Amino acid sequence: MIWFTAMTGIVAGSAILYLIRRDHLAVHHGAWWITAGFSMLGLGLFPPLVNGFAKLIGVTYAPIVAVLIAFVALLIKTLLSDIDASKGEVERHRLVQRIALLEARIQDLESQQTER
Amino acid sequence: MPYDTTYIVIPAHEEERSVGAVVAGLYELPHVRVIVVDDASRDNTAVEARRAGAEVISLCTRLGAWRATQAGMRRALFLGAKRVATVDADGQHTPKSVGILLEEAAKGKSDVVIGADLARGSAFRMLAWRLHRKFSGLALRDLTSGLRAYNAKALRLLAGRSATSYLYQDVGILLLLQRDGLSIVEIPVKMERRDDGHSRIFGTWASVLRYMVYTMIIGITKRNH
Repeated sequence: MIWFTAMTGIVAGSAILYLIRRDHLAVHHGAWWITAGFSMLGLGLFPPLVNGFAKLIGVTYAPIVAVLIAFVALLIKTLLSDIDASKGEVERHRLVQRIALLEARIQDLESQQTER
Repeated sequence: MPYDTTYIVIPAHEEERSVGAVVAGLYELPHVRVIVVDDASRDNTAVEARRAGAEVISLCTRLGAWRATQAGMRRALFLGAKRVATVDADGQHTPKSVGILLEEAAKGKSDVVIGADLARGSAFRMLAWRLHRKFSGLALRDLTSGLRAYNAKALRLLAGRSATSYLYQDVGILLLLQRDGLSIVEIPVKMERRDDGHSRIFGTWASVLRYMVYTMIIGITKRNH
């Protein structure tokens, strides 16, 4: 079981590093995933960490703590990426408008030139 | 005294059959200049609008009626507009009702004038309006009317980035105007029934549902207290 979780962490970590290296993933997004990858690796190799933490906060069934942390992390990440997407959408819409406005300006200038 | 030109912005997506007549009709009004914003149509909307004498600006991807309107407002502001009216391309707003709207706007008593036709409400539309009034706290009757006149103050607000995130020129835009303390009045006008096609919002069930949910969320989250 330890090897399974450790392998998952290693695979996820290397995939993220590869994606950043190939510019498929921007560095600022990568930071989050690298952290996630290392956490998986750490918890995979040292399960007692989870057990200890579970005991500390008074949870009797330790594995659920890891699941809960993963769930919250994913929730935050999805929210952040939707916020990013919303900003990007507004940006894109403004740009499409701007292109149309610039085209109109070009037409203005062209018709001024033919008038001369 | 020279009159200020009123710019009339018409967002149009695939309205080749009606847009020409709409533009021609509007040029019967004094001191107007018509800007048609072609919202990535694949038909001859731009050609027909230009033939009727409108200035056409074309969006390269479809942004929807409100964002197309906003592009037209930005163009009008660039051209020095002090007042902009928005009119639908499908012919439901007659030159006569636009004239009534502009007369009211010219009095300068309020920042925004809405041409409201309460008779056009089907039972469902009435229910939708009532719900959205409740959620948004807006005291206006015809929340979805696309026939509106804005003064320079309203235009500067609506041309800005904060207005770009909206999908429809209705509750969200009205709340934005209200938040900034702009005055909004409604005047009764009579709208034509659409010759072809249906309402874009109250068309298919899917679009109705999307509109209702979207507008409800806007009403709840953006309500001014």
